Amino acid sequence: MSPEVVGIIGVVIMIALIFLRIWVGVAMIIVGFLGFAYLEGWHHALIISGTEPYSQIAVYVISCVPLFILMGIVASETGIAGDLYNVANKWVGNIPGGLAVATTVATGGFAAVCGSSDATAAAMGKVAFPEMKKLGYDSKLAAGCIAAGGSIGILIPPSLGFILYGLLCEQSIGKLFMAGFIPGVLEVVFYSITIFILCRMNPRLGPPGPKSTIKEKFSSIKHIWGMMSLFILVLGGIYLGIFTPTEAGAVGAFGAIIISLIGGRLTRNKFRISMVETAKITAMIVLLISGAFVFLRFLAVSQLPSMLSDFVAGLQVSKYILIAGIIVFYLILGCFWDIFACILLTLPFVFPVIEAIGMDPIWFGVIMVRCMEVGLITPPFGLNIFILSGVIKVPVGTVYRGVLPFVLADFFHIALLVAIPELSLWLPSTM
Amino acid sequence: MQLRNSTERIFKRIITVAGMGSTALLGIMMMLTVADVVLRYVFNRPLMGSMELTEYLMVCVGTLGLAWCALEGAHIKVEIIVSKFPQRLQKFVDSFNYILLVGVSGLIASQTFMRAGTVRKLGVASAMLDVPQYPFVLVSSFSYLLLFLTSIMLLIHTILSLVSRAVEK
Repeated sequence: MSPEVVGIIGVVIMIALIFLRIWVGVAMIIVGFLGFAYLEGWHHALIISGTEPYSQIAVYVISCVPLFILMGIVASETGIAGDLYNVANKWVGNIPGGLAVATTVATGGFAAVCGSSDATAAAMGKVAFPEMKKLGYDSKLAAGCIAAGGSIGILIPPSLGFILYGLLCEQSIGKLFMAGFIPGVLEVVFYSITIFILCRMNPRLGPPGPKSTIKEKFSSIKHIWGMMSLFILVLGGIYLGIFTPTEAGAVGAFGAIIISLIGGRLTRNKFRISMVETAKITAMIVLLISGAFVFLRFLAVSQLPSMLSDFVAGLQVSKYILIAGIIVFYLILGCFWDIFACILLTLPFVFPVIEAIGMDPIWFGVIMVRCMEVGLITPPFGLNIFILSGVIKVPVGTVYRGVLPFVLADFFHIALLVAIPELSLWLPSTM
Repeated sequence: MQLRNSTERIFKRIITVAGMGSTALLGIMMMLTVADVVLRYVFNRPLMGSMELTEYLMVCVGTLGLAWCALEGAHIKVEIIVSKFPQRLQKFVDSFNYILLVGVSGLIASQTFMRAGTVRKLGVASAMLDVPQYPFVLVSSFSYLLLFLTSIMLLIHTILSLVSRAVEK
């Protein structure tokens, strides 16, 4: 059997194991180990199983993972979501659909301190949904804008999706963070336009809220300046080359703790919960990374990725058709699989193809993360839908119907990002 | 039964202590990096070897919580097909998965343990501070050993629930 055939069989077995509900990281280790043993011998496979789970974790850049997670969890535990919502509400709440727009803007702001989509959806759901219902908003619009807005969490930096992509593809995490910024802001704009159009068509969906005075508008900002300054410090530090991603993560986490302490919002219990949650999520990601690297070693000796890239390079089709195919692939995959699993499982095959067709890896990182965001709000999985439905006690079906206009906006947004790569690449090019 | 319960209680306690250890080390890792940044930019005196210490700490932070995460069912898995199966069949599938998990975690625990021995013999240490690497490889090995024992416990639970259901029927 040729190494390539062994590689294909290995991939099929791994997918079967994953659908059998085995942990994704463990499935990758099993297939990686056995496949490597078949191709290179047991002795080498045993060495890999002893070295990779240590050597791939004892890497400086990986330590930014727990630090950014901690920053996000501390921020969400201490009520920044409510403050952001309050500010956005004061500024735009009085226009038709204004509370929904405020929610979307606040989710964008929350995403700037929290790299996780589900945490963003859950935090905003608790804060924004009761307010919108109080003002007579349609449940579908209210739930839809929160679920969709929550998905921005992995596009606006800091983003765990970009960190994993950068680790696996050896791309600059700082550049990836910067690349996600403008597309993330544009996503907020697209969702706001969607809400505006919906409320113009049917004003009963989102009646305007009470008007705030200029004084109220400016005084609302005082609660968020701390966290927003922290965001500017963290991202500005990376952009200007003052901090490495790990240093930025540490400064961000430390700053979030200090700001919450000064504001009297970080209790001992909340601090404990934040640390415990961070440690658990980190362990979960570490198992995935270990599995991915064992699996990568197997793929390298199977020569499957190079065969795939040679095949794609030899195809007589337009580069844009290939890109469209890859986008559709990720849109579908995102509907079924967890985003971290998607990144770690598919990149070993997809990345060589991306290089072969000459796509910019930073740009592709943005497109890939953006496509998988859509998966967070589409059936049958739609993680954000389920989380939000549980938080706001609204049937899953209602949330699904509510996000449909936003999914349509997502398609236009992705098309724009593909058509104008500079939207993603301009900011990192100035670093 | 009583022996099993008390053994499990002690074991869970060990897992929790290991997990809490990872949170403490996370705090240390954060403070170390912040101190390095402050000393570098304010006093122009960066902490020597903070990068290599961070790498070592990352291994502890990342692996000590593995069993904790397993105990709470937090590791990423795809439920889409198996969750549609009848309960009994789901337990069969889970038993099979736990057997694989026992194998994988046992393999990594033993291999990293042997690796620690090799690293110790070779005298591998960090470049700046000369901190030996082997204790951190041992931490990684210990973490996978905890995961190995956790998977055995989860396997026993799943098999027992299968057997007790069969007896009830």
